[in-house]
Amino acid sequence: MGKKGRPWVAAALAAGLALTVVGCSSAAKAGGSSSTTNPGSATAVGGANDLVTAAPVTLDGAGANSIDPFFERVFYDYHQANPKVSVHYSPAGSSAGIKDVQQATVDFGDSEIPMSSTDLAKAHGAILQIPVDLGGVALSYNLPAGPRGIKLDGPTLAGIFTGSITKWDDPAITALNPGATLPPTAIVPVHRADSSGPGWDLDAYLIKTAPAWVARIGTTKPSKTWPVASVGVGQQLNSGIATYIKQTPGAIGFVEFGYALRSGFVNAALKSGAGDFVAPSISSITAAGSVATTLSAKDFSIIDEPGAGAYPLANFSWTLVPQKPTDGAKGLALGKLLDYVVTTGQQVAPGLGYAPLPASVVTLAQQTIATLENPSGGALFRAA
Amino acid sequence: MTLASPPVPGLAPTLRRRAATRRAARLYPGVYWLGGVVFIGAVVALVVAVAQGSASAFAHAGLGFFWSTTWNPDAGDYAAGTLVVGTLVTTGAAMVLAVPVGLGVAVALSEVVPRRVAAALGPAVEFLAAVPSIVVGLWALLILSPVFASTVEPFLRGVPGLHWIFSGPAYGPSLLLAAVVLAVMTLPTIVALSRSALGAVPAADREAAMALGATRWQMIRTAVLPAARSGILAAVTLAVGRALGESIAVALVIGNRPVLPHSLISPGATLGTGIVNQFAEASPGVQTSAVIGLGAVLLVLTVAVNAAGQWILRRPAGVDTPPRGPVPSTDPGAETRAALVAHGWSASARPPVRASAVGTLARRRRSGRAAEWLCRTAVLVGLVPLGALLWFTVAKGAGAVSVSFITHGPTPPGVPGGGISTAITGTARIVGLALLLAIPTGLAASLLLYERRGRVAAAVRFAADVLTGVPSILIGVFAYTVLVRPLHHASTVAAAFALAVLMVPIMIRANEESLRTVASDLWEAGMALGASRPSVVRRVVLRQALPGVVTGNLLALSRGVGETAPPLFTVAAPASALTFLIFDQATQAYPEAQRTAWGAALVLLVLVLVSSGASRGVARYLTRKAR
Repeated sequence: MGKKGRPWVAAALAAGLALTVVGCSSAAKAGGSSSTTNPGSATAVGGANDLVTAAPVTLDGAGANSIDPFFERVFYDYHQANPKVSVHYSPAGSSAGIKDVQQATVDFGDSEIPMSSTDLAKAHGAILQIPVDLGGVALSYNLPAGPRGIKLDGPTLAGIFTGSITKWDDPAITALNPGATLPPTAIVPVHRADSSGPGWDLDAYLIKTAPAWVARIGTTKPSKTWPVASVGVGQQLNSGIATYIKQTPGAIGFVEFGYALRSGFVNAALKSGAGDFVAPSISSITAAGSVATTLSAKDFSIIDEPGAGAYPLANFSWTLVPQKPTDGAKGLALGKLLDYVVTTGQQVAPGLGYAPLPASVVTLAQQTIATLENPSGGALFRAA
Repeated sequence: MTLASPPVPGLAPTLRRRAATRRAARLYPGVYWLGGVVFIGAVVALVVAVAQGSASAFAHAGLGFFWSTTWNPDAGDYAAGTLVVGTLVTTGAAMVLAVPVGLGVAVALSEVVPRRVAAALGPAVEFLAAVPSIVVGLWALLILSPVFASTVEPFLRGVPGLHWIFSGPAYGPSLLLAAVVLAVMTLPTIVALSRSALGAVPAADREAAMALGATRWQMIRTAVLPAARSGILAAVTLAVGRALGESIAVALVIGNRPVLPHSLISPGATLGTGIVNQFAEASPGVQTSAVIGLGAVLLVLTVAVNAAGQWILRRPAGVDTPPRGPVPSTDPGAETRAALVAHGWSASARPPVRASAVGTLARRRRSGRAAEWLCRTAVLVGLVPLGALLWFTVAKGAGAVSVSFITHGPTPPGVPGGGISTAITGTARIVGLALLLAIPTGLAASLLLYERRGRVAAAVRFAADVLTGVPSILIGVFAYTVLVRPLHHASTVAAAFALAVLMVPIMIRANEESLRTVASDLWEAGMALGASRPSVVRRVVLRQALPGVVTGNLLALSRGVGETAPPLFTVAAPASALTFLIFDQATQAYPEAQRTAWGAALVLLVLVLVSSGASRGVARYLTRKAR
């Protein structure tokens, strides 16, 4: 008998092609330029096994969208210095990070708001919560002819986000901004369509400062889900809000300061706990972070704290890690990576719109990282 | 065909071959049964996963889940009412826009414009049908939305008498913009399917009308359109099914406001966007269950609509697509007419004579000409958005694409020189693996349909019908539920599995159709020569059907490459798949991110063009070779 049937040949060709593609791309993935720079101090984890000789490790993370620009940069830098360690981070949102850690579909999560005891109870095993960045939430607006740094306070913002203040030249706004000429443009408030850390922060600020807001939402407990979704436009993630503000004259919305900085937005100055109007900046966010002397995952909020020049909408972002990772090699790599993030990695923070962590918080982070355990039990890192 | 002779003419090789043939004969039914069972198993698993996943939400909210309108996770209130309304409103508005234009274009291409123009536009329309929805979404978000906010919506708001549907602030993202996106997305489908329905109307019907003194337009109206009615209806139903389930592109432009809409220019939300926005962050328990519950409602809606479409399409055999391969000797028109009449459609029941009795010839010609100009206008109206979509993708994308863009991985903000290489290889890996899973399953299951007529075959066919109607977002949710969550790992394998589930039904239908076109005398001849059943299938039937099989599989591939939802739910990060990357970068406010999105969209478009072009080329080549 002659040739095999050609259909099979075609099928085999297709299969072969597919296999080649699979093969090639896994080879391509291992790329990455080598670098001679060594990531700096690894104080807490100095005694750990050396990773240079270890097999390549890929760490998957998911969570807060606000920290994404910082994480992307730090993970990139770390990979340049340690080509064997690749990190994938999916910035799907804080709640997604918590959920993924609970279901153990990622190696680490990240949330702007630490996990509550209810959240922790739903996870398998203990979860460590490590503060890794200090950011702020900007109220960015798009008023081509309007002044920069418009001053706003809680009641005015509550009016904007509940729809009772609809024009930029509303008396409530002009009263706060004597001397400024505000255009009669319609205000388009933009809020998050998904649940979010920045939404929680602004909700907490409004609950603290605007009785009308509390009356409208009927609770004094801040929520990650934006409580007044029926006013204005909902957008996914910080990026969705930023894109919308950029496209829409008259729009105002809350975005992580890093996103606002990179988008070149003008931001409102908010009435702070100390009574003055403060615009978001590295220094005002640093000032807000310096009040966090008793920071912990249970006592995490630094919203509207009194402090000279402190921006009222600042917050820490928390990385969530199972205390006992199921894969020892990954656990080691993750511990070293996180130590880098809270130490050397902080150097790139100001350029991206985040304040460097205060020294006390770095210590807290390193102490927490040091409690990581082996899959078999016992400390993953020897004391340095 | 050349026959390679065995090196040593002897008995042993012959016996070995015979034994091998016998083994193959025994294995053959096993192979196709396995394919069928695997496929049915996957569909059952999907339905069970959705039902099981949503059970606790239905238990929690009761029947009110379907119509109640509060969605407040903090208070534990979950209901689909507003989202069902948003879904129906956007789909309805999209069809109001797309159906008249689509029908006009189809009639124009099939009956009115010169053949050469039609021949040029026809393939273009078919290519547009393959444009990934994420590309349409990108274009609508970055180009259309600002125009809607500044011009279109304020204008509509000012139109007297329309205040009841156009009122409130002009934000840009709105139900209307979502409807426009859906209309642009479904228009090519409506045109392509309606056109093939029109093309299948037998010449005899047209000639009869013309012989009775009808003008060209009267011929179209009284003979062609009624005869193609079921095909057109099926095209519209399929478009409705697709519009109901489209989620990712809609989520980019609808404004995501889960409250009952009071105006078409207000933001809204649909079942699909509800899943996109909520699934990733829904905490385990009732909230996750409620999101899957949205999926269950969507599943019921789309499957019902799609099943109706399939049913209409199947009812009169031969109307839907022009026959491929060897043409049956009987006149398909006669069958069609008989079937149409039997089902109560008055195919040519209204004699053109009656129409011709009304008015003078001049008046009939005038009104006919007016109608034909309307159709030509529809071509222009339809071409404008589709042309703009392509133009912007190419123009904006070309500025971003370079060699280093394709060969470099992504860089973080502020570090120049980033590219999309990881997304390209990621998509290649996902699609390659998906083809490895889907091609054998699809082929085996279609052989089952070819060989058997029993209940299992009916079940496979039914399952394929159901699955073609299932929105890809649900398949993403399904893959997450059965692979990512239990295995605690986002992976290429899970994404490939999702894509395979999406592609197999397309393959099964295409394969079966091609197998059926193989003339039965070839089959009988093979059997008469004493060949075993599997070897006839392999050497005669499959070889004859190969062009169709390859075409169908490549079409499935081009669909798979452009899907966004499966990777969205299954891979670790946006940079691992082209479509996911576009979705991620499109929503960034930074020019360089948007450039990346356009560049990736252009690369994706080229990939789809290549695979759909390849499917035509390969089909033509193989058909020529088979002769």
